[in-house]
Amino acid sequence: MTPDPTRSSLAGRGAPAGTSGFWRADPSGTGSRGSRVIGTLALVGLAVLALFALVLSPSDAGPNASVNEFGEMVRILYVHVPVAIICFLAFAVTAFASAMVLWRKTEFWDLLAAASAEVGVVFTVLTLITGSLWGHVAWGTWWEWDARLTSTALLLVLFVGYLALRRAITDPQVRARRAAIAGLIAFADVPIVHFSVDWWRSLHQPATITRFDPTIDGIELFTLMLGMVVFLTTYVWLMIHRFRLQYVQARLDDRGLDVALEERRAEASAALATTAGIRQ
Amino acid sequence: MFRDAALVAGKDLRLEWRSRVTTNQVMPFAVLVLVLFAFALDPDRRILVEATPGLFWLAVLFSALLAIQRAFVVESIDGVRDGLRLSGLDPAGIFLGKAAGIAVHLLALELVLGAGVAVFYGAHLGSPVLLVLTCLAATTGLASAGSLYGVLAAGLRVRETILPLLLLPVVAPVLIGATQAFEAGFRGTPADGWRWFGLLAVFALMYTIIGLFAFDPLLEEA
Amino acid sequence: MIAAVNQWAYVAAAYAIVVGTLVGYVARTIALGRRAGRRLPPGERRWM
Repeated sequence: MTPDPTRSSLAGRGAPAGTSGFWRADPSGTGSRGSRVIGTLALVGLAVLALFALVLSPSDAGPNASVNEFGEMVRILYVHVPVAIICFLAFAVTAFASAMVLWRKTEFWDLLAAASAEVGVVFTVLTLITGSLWGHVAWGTWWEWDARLTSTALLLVLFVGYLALRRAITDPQVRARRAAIAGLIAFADVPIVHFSVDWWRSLHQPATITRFDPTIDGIELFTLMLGMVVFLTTYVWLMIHRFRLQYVQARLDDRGLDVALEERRAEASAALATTAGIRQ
Repeated sequence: MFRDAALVAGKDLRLEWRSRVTTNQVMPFAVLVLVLFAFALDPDRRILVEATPGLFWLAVLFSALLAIQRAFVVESIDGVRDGLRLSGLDPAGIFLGKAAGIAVHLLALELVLGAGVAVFYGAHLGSPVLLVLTCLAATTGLASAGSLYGVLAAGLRVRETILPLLLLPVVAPVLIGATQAFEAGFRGTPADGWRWFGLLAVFALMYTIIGLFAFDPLLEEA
Repeated sequence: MIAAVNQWAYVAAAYAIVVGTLVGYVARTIALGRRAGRRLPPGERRWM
C-alpha cells in the first residue's frame, strides 16, 4: 500500500505523465474530459427528466388513473424512487469495496468505499426528504414509523457513523481496515434492521406505503427509467470526483507534515516582511 | 481458542473484582436511569407499566455503553492492547473473551435492573422462561456487537463520543426485539414473544460470527 | 382544484430540494478538488 501514484493502477492509464487525457484529471481540479462529458450528460438528462416528469407525463387522475390515484403527487416518485435506489446502490458499493479492502488491501478500494459512502449519505438524505414530502400528502404527517422509512433513517445514521469513524482515524492503514469492517457491519445490519422494524410495525397496523403500481407503462414507465439513468449518471459523476478528491487528499496527507511546516514558514516570513514594511 | 477466551474473560473479570467499577458506578447509574424515567414520565405508574419493557432495555443499552467503554479503556492504558496483540493469543479467542466478559457484566446489570423494574414499576414477571432466554440472547448480541465496536473505536481521541453513534443504530434491532419479547413476557403470553427471541438469536449469532473473523484484521494493525 | 395547486407545491419543493442539494454538493466537490489540486506540487498532480 505504498502511496506511489506513478505505480498505482489508476494513475497513468494510457497517456504519459503531465498531459491531460480523457480520464486524466487536469492539474487544477478533479475534472477531466471524460468526467465533463458525463457531467454534461447528467445536466442535459436532468433537464429532459424535468420536462418529462413535470410537463409531458400525465397526472395520476381521471379515467386513466392507477388504483392509487396519486394525482400530481405521482411526479415526486420520478425522483424519489431513483434516488432511493441509488442510495442503496451506493451503500452496496461501499460494502463490496470494504470486502475488497480486507481481501486485496489496496488503497483503491478504500477510497472507493469512502467516496461511495459520502455520495450515499447525500442520496439518503434526499430519499428521506422526498419521501417525507410524499408522506405529508399521502398520510397527513411528515413522518410515519413505517418499516421502509425507519430502516432508511437507521441506514443514514449507520453511514454517518461510518464517515465519522473515517474522520476520527488519521493513520491511513488503520483507517482502511477499521472502516472496511465498520462498512461491512453497517451493510450487514440493513436486512436485520428491516425485518425487525417490519415486524414491529405490523404489530400495530399494515404497511403504510402503497407500492407504486407495478403495471405502469408508456410515458410513466419511460419517465421512471429516465430518472434512473439520470441519477445513475449523476452518481457516476459524483463518484469520479469524490474518488479523485479522496486520492488527492490522501497524497496531501502523505506530504501533510512537511507542507504544513513550509506554509507556516512562508506565513512567518511574510508576516515578518509586512511588519518590517510597516516599521519602515 | 476457547482457552484464550477464558484467559481474557478471566482477566477482565478479575480486574472488575478488584476495581469494582461496574458494581460501584455502572449499576447505580442504571438504577438512577430507572428513577429518572419515572420522574420524566409520571408518578402514578400508568405510563410506566406500559413502557416498562422499553425503559428496561434503554437502561440496559445506556449502561452497556459504559461497560463496553470500560472494557476497552482498560486495554488502551499501559499498552495492554499491544500486549494482547503480541501475546500470541488467538484473535478470535480475544474477541470471545472480551464479549464474554462484557456479557457477564451485562447479565449482572440486567438482574439488578429486573429487580428495579419489579420494585419501582411494579412489573409482573408473567413468563420467566421467555424473559430469561430473551435476556441471554439479547446480551450475547449486545456483547458481541459491543466488543466489535469497542475495538473499532479503541484508542481514538473521540472514542467516548463515537461509540454510541456507531453502536446504537446497529443494536436497534436488539432494542426492538427484546422490548417486544419482554412485553409478551410481562403479559404472560409467551407465544407472541418467541419470534422476537428468534430475531435476537439470529442477531447474536451473526455478530458473534462477524466478530470471530473481524478481530484478526483489527488487531494486526500498527 | 385547490388540492391540485397544493400538490404542485409539494412536487416543486421536492424537485427544488433534490436539484438544489445535488448542485450544491457538486459545486462544493469541484471547489474542494480545485483547492486540493492547487496545494499539490505539479510533479504529484496525477491521479486517475
